[in-house]
Amino acid sequence: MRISGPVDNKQELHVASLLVHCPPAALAGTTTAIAALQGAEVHGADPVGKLVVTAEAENEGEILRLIDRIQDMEGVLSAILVYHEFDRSDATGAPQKTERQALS
Amino acid sequence: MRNVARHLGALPSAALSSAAILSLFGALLLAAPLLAQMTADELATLRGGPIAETLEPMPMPPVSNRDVRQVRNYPEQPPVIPHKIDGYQVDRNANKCLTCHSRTAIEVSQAPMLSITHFMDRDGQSLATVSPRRYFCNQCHVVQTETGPAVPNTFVDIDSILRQDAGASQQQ
Amino acid sequence: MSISRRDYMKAQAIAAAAAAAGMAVPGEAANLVTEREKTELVWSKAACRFCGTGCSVMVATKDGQVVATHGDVKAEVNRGLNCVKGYFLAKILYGGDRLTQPLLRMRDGQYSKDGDFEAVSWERAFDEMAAQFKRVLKEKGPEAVGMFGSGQWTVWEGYAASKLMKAGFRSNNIDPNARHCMASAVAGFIRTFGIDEPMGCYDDFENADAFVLWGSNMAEMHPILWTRLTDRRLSAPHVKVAVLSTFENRCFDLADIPMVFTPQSDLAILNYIAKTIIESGKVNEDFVGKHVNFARGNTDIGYGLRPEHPLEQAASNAGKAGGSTPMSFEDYAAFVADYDLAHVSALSGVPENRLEALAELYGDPDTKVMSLWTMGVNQHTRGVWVNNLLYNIHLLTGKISEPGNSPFSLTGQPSACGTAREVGTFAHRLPADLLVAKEEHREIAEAIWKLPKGTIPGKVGYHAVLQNRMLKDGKLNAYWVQVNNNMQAAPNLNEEGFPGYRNPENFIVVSDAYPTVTAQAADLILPTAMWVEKEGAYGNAERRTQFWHQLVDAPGESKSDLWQLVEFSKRFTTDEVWPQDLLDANPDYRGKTLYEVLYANGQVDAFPLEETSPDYANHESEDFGFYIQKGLFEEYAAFGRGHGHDLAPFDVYHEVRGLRWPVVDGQETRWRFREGYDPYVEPGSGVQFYGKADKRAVIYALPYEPPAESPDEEYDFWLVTGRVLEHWHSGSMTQRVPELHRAFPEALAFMHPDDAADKGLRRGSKVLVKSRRGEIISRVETRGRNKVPRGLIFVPWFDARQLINKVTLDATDPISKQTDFKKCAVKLEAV
Repeated sequence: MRISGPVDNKQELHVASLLVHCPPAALAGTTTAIAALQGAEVHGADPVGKLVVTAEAENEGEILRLIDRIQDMEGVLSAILVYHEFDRSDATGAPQKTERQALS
Repeated sequence: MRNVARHLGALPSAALSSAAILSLFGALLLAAPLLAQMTADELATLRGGPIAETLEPMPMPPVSNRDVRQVRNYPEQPPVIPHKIDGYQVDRNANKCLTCHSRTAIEVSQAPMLSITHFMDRDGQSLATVSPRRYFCNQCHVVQTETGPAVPNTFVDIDSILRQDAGASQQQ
Repeated sequence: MSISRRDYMKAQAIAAAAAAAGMAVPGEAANLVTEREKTELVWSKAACRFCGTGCSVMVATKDGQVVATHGDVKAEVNRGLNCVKGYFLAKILYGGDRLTQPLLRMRDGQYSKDGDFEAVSWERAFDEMAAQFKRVLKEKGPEAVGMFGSGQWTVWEGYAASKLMKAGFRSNNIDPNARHCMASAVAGFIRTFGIDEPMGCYDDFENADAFVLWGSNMAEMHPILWTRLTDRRLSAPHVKVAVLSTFENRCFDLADIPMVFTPQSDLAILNYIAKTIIESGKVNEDFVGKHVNFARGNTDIGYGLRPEHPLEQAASNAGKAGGSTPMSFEDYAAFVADYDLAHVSALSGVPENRLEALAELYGDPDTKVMSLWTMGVNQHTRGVWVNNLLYNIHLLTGKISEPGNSPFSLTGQPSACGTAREVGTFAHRLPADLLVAKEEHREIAEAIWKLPKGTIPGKVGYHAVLQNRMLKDGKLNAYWVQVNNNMQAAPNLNEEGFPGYRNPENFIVVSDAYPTVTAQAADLILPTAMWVEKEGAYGNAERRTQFWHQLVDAPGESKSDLWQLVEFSKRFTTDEVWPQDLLDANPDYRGKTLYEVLYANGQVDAFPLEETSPDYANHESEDFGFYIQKGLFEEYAAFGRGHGHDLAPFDVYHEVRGLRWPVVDGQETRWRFREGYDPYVEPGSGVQFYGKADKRAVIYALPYEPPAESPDEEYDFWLVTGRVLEHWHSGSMTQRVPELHRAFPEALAFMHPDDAADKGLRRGSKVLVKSRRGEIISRVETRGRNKVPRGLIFVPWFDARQLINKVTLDATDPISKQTDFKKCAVKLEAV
């Protein structure tokens, strides 16, 4: 399989981060549940009941679906979108356009 | 039972690290042709056709001119040239690259200054100007054309390995 | 999307969320890892995998992978520099289509010549291979088995192969791909000096006052040596650079005396220079009187084509190509007098003033001159002659064997010297310049190898081009190819190479790391370990032998060439492959496997596993149970020690950045044949060319003779083939590095813009490049690094999609048997 020649297909990558609140006792269980979701990663925790979570997806809709699923989880008090960036590039890996939103 | 860290310390991540993704990709590539029967005419990946045939050449891709810096595979890799260099004179009379990349030109050009290593002679001593042994830039720095790789490469850089190791050690 | 872009975005995202939460950024998101234990890399030295310059690199590994390389600052050769290919060495092992299992052509569960490739075990692979080799040996004898090896074999791989073929199967049909690149240089050395390899070293670069490049695009092909030359030229204003080529290349960027000459006319130019030196009184008469003989070389020697070819029929000395008769200096002077300035300028197309400047440069006794040449000289139907003529000039002036005065034949491959030439993996050779044709030489080898007298055959085997012809003719039937891509590299693919491999009478085995076109044409493919996946040694162009340890494992079931050769030898017994009379005369050798007599012979297995390094793996030694690389090396070194080819003890090479042989009493030799530098030169003699019995080098009278095929009415263009900086050879490694592929993705036909316009072509147009033998379609390039003259095109051979060797001619130098890849006639058509 030879990949060559000028290419046209654009790919998008969406990366978002969430601040998730839950009761301290539910931290471990919630972490496991979130980590099991496709595209979601847990990066840190504060024992008071906060989790730093990232979500990656190919389009915005998937990001929103992930957030919904997390919010629906038992033990999750709230999941707030803090940051969202997406990149569009062709197969050479050179970015063509970047949009970034930091929501506070 | 996973530990909940005090304030630092990431909780174990179940997501695949990028290094793992890449090695899986590589493994899939290898597995596909090897486990199945391979028609001989497809074996030479870089050719993609029977030896006896006269193949059509690929279109000539343009040289990338985006001026966007590319990730380097390791610190020692000379950066690729992110712009066209058609007609750039580099001979015993003049070096066009230095008109933007020399120490004195960079304020105007905002181009990256050529690295300090380029001022050292064969014995590692710094010279006043660019060392003649570094004069012909194109021996190490090459342009990139707008095309994909001929064959995917499964090289994994050190950062990915360290991340993989960190992830693995936290799972213990 | 590159991985790091994603990581960057994630890091930003995590930091933002952590800040919003009033938390410190979690450790994993931090973009700085500083713990020494984690960031410490294991760095080990290795020789670069690519050209004959022989740079040393440092290789970093982590978790069993190569993660970085850089130029070795401790190495004399390159002092920390690499070229772009060297800087990407870390990625060459990781092409996604790496071969990991043996592949055999099968149909209905059996081997079948026209089957498709199926994965098989090593057992099954060797079962088939052994069966085929045994069948052929039984039915047709040792002359029907053959091997095509490589100047990229490690020293011990070449040595093990040579033993297996010459003493095991008793066939001299082993030849390396170095036949395509250095054979003319070797024959040139032997004819002039009686012994192979340059007398100077790279230190000449820092000492010369003038450099003359003959048919050598150093800027792209020996880049680090070019940097040393550039360093000298730009640091010392009096230094001059002359460049002679059949087209303008990047070396012309530095040239003070640039010369584009008509193909083949280098012969005339060299004779003109000799004439000028003589007539202007610049001969170093003292030197010539003491150290030089003169000889008239045989002429009209043909073109190495098939014997029935009209050119061969017409050649009066095709059978005595290398012969010569002694002559006097006066007769030699009369011979070169024919090559006057006007005549040579007209023939070559080089302006008279440039030729005069060049001759003056050579003649001036105060100008130390380094001549450098590679494929333009060697891949030439009179390549041996050009080598001889270059030495003529340096011998006439005495400009030889001292710092800066150096006729330097540059080697192309990383170990054409160290392996192919020094180990003698040629159809006519044995180690240390010994020859199979000489009984006393065979006896030396048999004694060192502890084998019966008469084991090694005396008949010269098939050389590279002849191997392809014999495959096609069905005379060579079991064939093993290692570390080369000869289907892509050999000339005249359509008429010889391809039909040879696909001839149903033949069983072709190819060992390679990647699926190349050569593998595609094979019947059995063996997955092979590369570079630092095995302990190795290379010898570079300045006689420097360099070692490296195994640093990482080969993927899947890949095994090194060495392992394959030695393991395969276990499948044969002497009873099966040696003749009855040899066994009757030496009954102690009955009933032994070739492994036992060649490798477990008390010498190759003399060093125990405990002597291997505790810090590095060594899979071959672990498999066989002894330090096999050391055993092979020390047995091989016995050939040369005390005979001008001295190598240091094995262990020393792992410690140092290589040593230049002869290494005597721990001291390397930088300049050979001169007293004070070379321990073999007798005190008081000044200079001794001790390769010759009377210690005198030979100046040869050799004329201009035309090429085998020149442009004519129908095929009106010269085709020159060659390489580009970014790709090594057939591109099997470099094309799999994305950055190198993107730098130069496809082959192009470099053409003069006016020629393109005349044919209705423009830059980027498709163009059919067609000869009497075959065709390819390429794309026109009218700009860029090569500016060709009218009537000539240049096409590099790294592109598997444009097999330019379908177009080339299998004419060779009749003495060296090296193909002329630089001259044949083509026509160009828009398509």
